[in-house]
Parts: sequence; structure tokens; C-alpha cells
Amino acid sequence: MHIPDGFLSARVAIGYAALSSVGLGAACFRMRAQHERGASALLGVSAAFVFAAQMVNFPVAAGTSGHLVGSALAGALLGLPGALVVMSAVIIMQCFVLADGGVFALGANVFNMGLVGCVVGFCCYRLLCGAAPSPTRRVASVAFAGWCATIAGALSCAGQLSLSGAARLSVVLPAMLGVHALIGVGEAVISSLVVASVLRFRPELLENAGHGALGARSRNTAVFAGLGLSIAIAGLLAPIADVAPDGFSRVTQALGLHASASPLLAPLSQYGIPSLVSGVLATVIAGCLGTLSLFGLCWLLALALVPRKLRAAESRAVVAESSG
Amino acid sequence: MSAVHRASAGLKLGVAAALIFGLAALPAERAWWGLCALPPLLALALLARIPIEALLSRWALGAPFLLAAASLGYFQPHGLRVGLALLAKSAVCLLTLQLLIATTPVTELTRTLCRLHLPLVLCETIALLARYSDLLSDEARRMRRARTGRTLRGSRFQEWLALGNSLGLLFVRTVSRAERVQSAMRSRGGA
Amino acid sequence: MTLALSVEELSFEFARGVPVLRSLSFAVETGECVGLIGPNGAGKSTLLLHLNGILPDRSAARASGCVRVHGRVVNASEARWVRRQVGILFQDSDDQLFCPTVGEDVAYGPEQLGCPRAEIEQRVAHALARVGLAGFEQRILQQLSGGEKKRVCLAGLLAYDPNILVLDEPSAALDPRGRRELIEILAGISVTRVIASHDLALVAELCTRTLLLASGALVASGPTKELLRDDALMNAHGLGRPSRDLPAHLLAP
Repeated sequence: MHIPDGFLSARVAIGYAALSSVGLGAACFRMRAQHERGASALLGVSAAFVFAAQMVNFPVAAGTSGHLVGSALAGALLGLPGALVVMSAVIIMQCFVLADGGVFALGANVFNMGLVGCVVGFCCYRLLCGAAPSPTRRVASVAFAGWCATIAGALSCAGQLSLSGAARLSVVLPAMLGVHALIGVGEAVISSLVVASVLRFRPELLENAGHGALGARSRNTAVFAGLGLSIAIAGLLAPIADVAPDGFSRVTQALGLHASASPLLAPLSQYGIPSLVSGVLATVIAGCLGTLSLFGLCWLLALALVPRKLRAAESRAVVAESSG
Repeated sequence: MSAVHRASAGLKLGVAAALIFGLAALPAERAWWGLCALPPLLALALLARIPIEALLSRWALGAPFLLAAASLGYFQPHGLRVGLALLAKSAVCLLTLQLLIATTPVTELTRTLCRLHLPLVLCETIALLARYSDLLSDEARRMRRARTGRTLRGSRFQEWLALGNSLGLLFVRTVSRAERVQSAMRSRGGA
Repeated sequence: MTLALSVEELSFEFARGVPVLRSLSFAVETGECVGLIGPNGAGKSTLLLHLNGILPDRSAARASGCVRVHGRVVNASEARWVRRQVGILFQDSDDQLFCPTVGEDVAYGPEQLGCPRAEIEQRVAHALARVGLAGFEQRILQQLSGGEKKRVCLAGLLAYDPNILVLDEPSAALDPRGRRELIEILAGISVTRVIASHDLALVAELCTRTLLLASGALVASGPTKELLRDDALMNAHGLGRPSRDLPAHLLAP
């Protein structure tokens, strides 16, 4: 997802650089305020780890490059300001050490992988975790958050390329989203592997990530929040589907849902609902089903990674909670 | 050490940034002007005594991404012209950046960036990234060596699977080691 | 008696160009316990890493000569076979341990041998008991002390029973009881053993023959007690005066 120089127009590059500076500046300010001396080992190693992980790079037929991002993992380990600082440091170093991503495009790259990636990843993670997450829930949440962050970053990247006139949205959007939906799976796996290990061997490291209680929230709230988020994402995409119907039909066709959605739509169209609305509905349903099933997969992954001992402790805690 | 290597990092960074900015600002129709930057760049490479084959082979590694991205531009009006313009601009920019990297050590570059009033927290994180990358790769090498030392069977695939399993442990071990390095530094008065 | 190990004209240089090993040649017979002594920087650890094929690797600038295990040359294609024959105990425990828990790490060797589950558990329990860590299967490695980790490394080797044991500073970091138990374990097994150590008392107690390495070259070789009694030789290579410092019964002919 590192955009090289020469693809973004001057206006887009400068505009996104300004946005990124503001976000990064706020994060640095926040970091200085809450800077604890003990935290820098985790910060530094996370940065080194994400840097190394991002080097796993492969050229993509239609898109800049596909690789792991790491923003959700950084968010889970360090909290939002720390994650943003780490991702920015990584992107800067990738540019000036590996020539991966352009100098002029730094602002845009930091926006995609730093701001968007971290905000989406961290918010997903926190929303899904709830107040006092069990190890399994944490791992599942970070896996799903990683996938969402990758997709969101790809979305933003596609937007920038299209705004610069480098490519049409209807071409770059499905290409980026399609590829990064797959890469997001790798992101989910790696994030969950690391968080599972940290929970097993150094659980106190995760407690430091500003995990204040979000207030007494039941498990159901998290599920509804997750559902709401996926509907929101689908809703974001729907207007774009309007603008670039050919690109979007390709995506839904690829998902194999276009054909199955038609019988659903047939009765609606009999009532004279304009085709645009039913198209949006189909997209929304597809989006919800897709994201919910992915979350289910993430939960299965977490069950596989969290050792039985930790899970037993978690179920004992639940029993104590419900009886107490 | 050529004159290019000895030049200040700030100057090189400034020139590279200016060139890249100029190229980015070129509209698609005038993108060919960017190719005029090629002779001076190659001359600089010669002056810096960087073997042309090395520079070009490294450039060739990054080229597929440019090609892939430029191919996106094809699917629009005047697609071919847009695509080629993108390719031309980005190729010259990539060469500029790689020349900068080849003639300037990373530490100097990061120090220059920090003098440009990047936030202190960010600069510290960059320094930590560099320092702990060595630690991470060392720990990875040790774990890999320890594992292969007792691995008697299994295919390449199983090796990779085992590597995946160790990722989390690698992270935790490196954090522990980093903490020890930190206390060692602090006990000698460092931060 | 067949030769377990045979080193022929072994030379090695790391990338920075300082020769670490210079044309070393020696042989170890099956069942023998050979000591390897020498000052810091003599090249003992580097030599040991050659015995199970870890070196030479990509970091080598120059490497020549060969090592044979049971007559077969140690190289990349024979790597798996060599590892089955030669078990190495690293000086730094963190170079040896790569699993999260004690039980998993010790079980790794037997698993690689293809033993059934029940036998693996039995081997692990037995090996841990031998090194004084009975019941430690579930403990997390990162939380153990240096000495405990060293014992886990040794247990990992005992669990899969290699024919040749190569040990780099085995008694370092062990408390006196641990050291005594180590000596008893090593005295009690009959496989070929090569022990590099600064602990000259241990070498005197266990090794029939000793090699003295200095600056990468083999300076002396012979029966342990004779070598250690040679004050001039020991002093010249920074090994003090064992004839004065060690208990007399260890060096008695």
C-alpha cells in the first residue's frame, strides 16, 4: 500500500500531508503527556516488528504493492497515539531505507496506514473487546480489527489515486479492495499470533495499553456495535457503488452474491422501488454477511491460539461473574 | 569517499525533495520533461562512484510496482498516455530516492529529519526502530538456529509453519531483551 | 575402535578476516570423553559449532578442512543425519531454547525421532528428573533462572539420546549442587563426549584426554592429568596453575 512518488498530484499529496501532520502532531503531543519510561521497549520492538513485517511485499497486478500493515496490532499493544507514532516511524523508515513509498507521498501513506489504519483498527478492537475482555475475545478482536484496518487503508489509498487522476475509481477500488481483503487475512493471522503470545507470556504489557473500563457493557453491545460498524462501512461504499456501478458489480459478482441477491430483489422491484435502492440493499446485506462470517472465522482462530489453561481461567471468571 | 557522499545530508535531502516535488507537479502532458533529469542523476551516480549495474538492479527491483500501478492509469480516456507519463515520472523519482539512499547513511538522514523539527517522540521512535531491528533479527536468527539444530525431519513447508508458530514468541523474547538493554543503558546514565 | 569424530585441517575465518581456527586436526574415539580447554577467544566455541554442522555458514569468509562424524563428512546434505548423531549444548541457553514451555522444548527431540506420545512424555519426565527439574513441564522458559534454563537445555539433549554429546561450558551458571549432579550425569553415560570448559576441576574429573586450544591452533594434546600438571604450559596460556589450585586427588596419576 506504499504509494511511490509520481502517482499523486501535488494537491492531493500536500492535502493529505497536512491532514497527517495534524493527526500525527496530536498523537505526539498525547504521547509526550502520557510518556512512561518503561514503555519504550515495547514501543521500539513493536516498531521493529512492524517494519520487518511490512517488508513481506508482493507486487499486485492492479495496485501499488500488497503487504502487511500492522496498524491494528500496534493499536492493541500501544493504544492509539503510540500506534500512530509507530506506524509513522515505520513508514518514514521504509521510505528512506528501502525506497518503499515516495518522499512526497509520505503524507498520503501515513494517512492510509497510520491514521486510517490505526483509527479503524483501534476502534474496532476496543469496540469488540468490551469492558473486561477474555483472552480469546481479545485475540479474535485484534484479528478482525486487523482485517478491517487493512481494508480501510486500501479504500483510502484507492481514493487518493483516483483523486490524483492516476486511475479511475471504478478500476482501482475493486482491485485494491479485492487484493487487500485477502492480505487482510494474513494481517489477521499475524496480529492474533502476536497478541496471543503476549497474553500468554507477558499479559501485563497489554494492560498498559490504556485499557480503561469502557463502562459496564454487556457482550451483546459489542456484537451490535460490530454489526453497526459493518453496516456503516457498507453504507459508505454504497454511494460509491452508485458512482461506479461496473466496478462494484464486479465485486459482488466475485462474492457470488449478485445472482443470489436477485430473487430477493425481484419481489421488491415489483413494488416499484428504484433499482438503485435495491442495489444498495444487496451491497449492504453482502457486506454484513461477509463481515459477520469473517468475525466468526476470527473467533475460531482465537480459540485455536489461546491455550486451554487461559480459556479455563476465563470461563471460571465468567461463572464467578454471573454468580457474584 | 566521493564528493557526493561527503555532501551534507540536508543538502542532498533538499535537492532530492525539490526534484521529486517538481516531477510530481508536472502535468501529465509535460511528464516527458521529467526524463531530462535522468542525465544529471546518472552523472551524479558516476561522480559518487556507485556502480551503475548496482543502482540499476536495485531500481529494477522496485520497478514492477511502478509498472503495476501505472497500468491502472490505462483504464481511462487517453489511458496509454497517462500510464506512460506516470511510469516516466515515478521511475525518475524512484531513481532519485535510491540515489539519495545510496549516498547518505541512514543515521545522517534521520538526524537531518529530526533537525527539521519532527516531533521528538517520533525521532526517538525512529531511533528505537533502528536499534531494536538488530535485536529482533538477532533473536530470530538464534531461534531459527536453535530449532534447526534439533530438527531431524519435516519439509520446507513445515519449517515455515514452525516459523509462523514462533512469531509470537519471537516478539515476546525480543521485548524482554529490549527491556534488559534499556536497564543496562539507564544504569549507565542513558535514557 | 572406530572414530566418532575426526577433524582434518579445519580452518575458519569470520567475515571480518581474523582467523579463528587454524588448520586444526584431531580425532575422538567412540566412547571417549575429551576435554577442550584454552583461554578466552581461543576458538573453542567456534570449533564446537563445527562439530554438528552449524558452522560454516553464510557468515564465513573462509572455511576449509573437514569434519567427519562416524566417517561421514559433515556438510549441508548430511545435516539431518549429523544432528541426530551429535547433540550440542550451547554456552548461552537462549541459543538453544526456542519453545515456550519447558515440556515442549524437552519433548522436541523425541518428537523429531517419531516416538509415540506416551514414550515422549516418559522421556521428558525422566530427563527432567535427571537434571533435578522434576515437574517443571508446564513452566514458562522465559521465567526461569539462568541455571534452570541450562538444566532444561541438558534435559533436552538427554531426552533424545544423541551418540555424541558436545558441551560448551556446561557447568557455567550452575549452583554447586547442580554442578555435582551434572558431573554425575556426564560420568554415568557412555556416549562420546567433548566438553569445552574453564572449569578445570570438571575436566580433570571427567575427561581422560584433553586438547589445549590457543589462538585457533591446537597447542597441546594428551592425558588430562599430565596436561594440567604442566605448570609452564598452563600458565603460558592464561590457565593459572591447576597443580596448585585443584584438589590433589584430581591430578594424582
